[in-house]
Amino acid sequence: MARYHPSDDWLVAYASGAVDEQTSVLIATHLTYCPECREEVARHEEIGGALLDVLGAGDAGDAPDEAPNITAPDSNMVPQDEDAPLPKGSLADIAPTPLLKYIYDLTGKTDLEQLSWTFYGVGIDRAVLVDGPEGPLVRLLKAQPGAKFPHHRHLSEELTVVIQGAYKDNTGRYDVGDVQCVSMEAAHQPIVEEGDVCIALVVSERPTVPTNFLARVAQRLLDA
Amino acid sequence: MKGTGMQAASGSIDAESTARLASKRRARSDERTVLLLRVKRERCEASFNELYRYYAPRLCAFLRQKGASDRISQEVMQDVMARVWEKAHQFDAATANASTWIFTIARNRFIDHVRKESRSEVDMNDPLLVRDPTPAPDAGLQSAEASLALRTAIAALPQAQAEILKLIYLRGMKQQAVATQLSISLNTVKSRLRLALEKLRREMENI
Repeated sequence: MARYHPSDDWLVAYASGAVDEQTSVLIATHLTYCPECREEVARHEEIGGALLDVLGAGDAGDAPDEAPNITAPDSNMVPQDEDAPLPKGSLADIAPTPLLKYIYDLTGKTDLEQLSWTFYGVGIDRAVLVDGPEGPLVRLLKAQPGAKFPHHRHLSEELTVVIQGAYKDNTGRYDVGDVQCVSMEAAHQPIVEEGDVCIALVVSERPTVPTNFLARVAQRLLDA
Repeated sequence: MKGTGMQAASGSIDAESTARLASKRRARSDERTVLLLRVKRERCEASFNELYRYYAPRLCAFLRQKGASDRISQEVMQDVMARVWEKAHQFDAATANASTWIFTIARNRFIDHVRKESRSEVDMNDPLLVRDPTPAPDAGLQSAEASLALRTAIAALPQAQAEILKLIYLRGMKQQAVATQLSISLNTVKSRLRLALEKLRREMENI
């Protein structure tokens, strides 16, 4: 079971609907592995429901008093949920449904091998899923056993969830389902454990910068 | 458990009625949940209309708090209530009461309509899902008393804590945004929220 969880702030924000789409994917991926956090989110939703009651009609202004035809049998107001089954690719074996759906919606692919992987470091590939000029930056990282990430610094808060393998850094050991939250300005160097290839989803507002000068130059060349 | 002191002081008849009340606690749902279950099982329109009269103004107020205009609030509210009717068969009184369930629908419809995003959720049939190895026998069961206790506790919160709770849960703000809006430090937001949640949690766990 997962040992590293999103902070309460993130779980409340997930329950209240305050998180953006990519963060909701990352948290829902963790929740798939973590019954404790599912229970926490349910509690926060319960508080939301209670606050809805407490709001009272007093604040409501001119809300209508009777239900317009919603109960009519030919009511077409609610579209049916389209839940077409996703094509069965290699990603389905390791990615929980929220992540699998998200990747399929963005890329049309469910095969790990078919994503656009680019070189990121020795033994490390990354597939960028979302990258806008104003953020967010969403990517999958795939690192070989024993791979060392370049020592790097974060320009924004970053969330990572592991879906296969495990890595370590100076703060702990992150295994399947674990979430690491790295705060802005923090620097670290993850090292992948021997055994499985490590695959993780990483969400942040801004990219990271290598702390080493030569590595910074190399990254600029790679990103160009 | 609350009431043990009173029991001891007022003799065996009260002890019996306390025990009866305790057993009722396990079973009885709050009024709105009963109505929603009637909609689910019997497609009861009168019950639905009662729910509509109760929730329509609250949902509109909720949506306006989140920044929707009057017109959009009305539209989203209608959509939420249409879903309550259409999806009532999915309502499970063992995991949520009516207000909690409707809160989650409204939250999702707001994200969909206004933010034009979707919100990712756990698939409870996911083959990768890790189940709770030791679920409490009545975990998540929401009795009328539990939901009343929670609402009473919210009403009793100091104004400063209640305000933060509303901004976070209803308006959907992150803690940093709340600090900026109220011109207080992030640590003050965190400590007020923690105090409020500790009080509410005690009430939720006491029942």
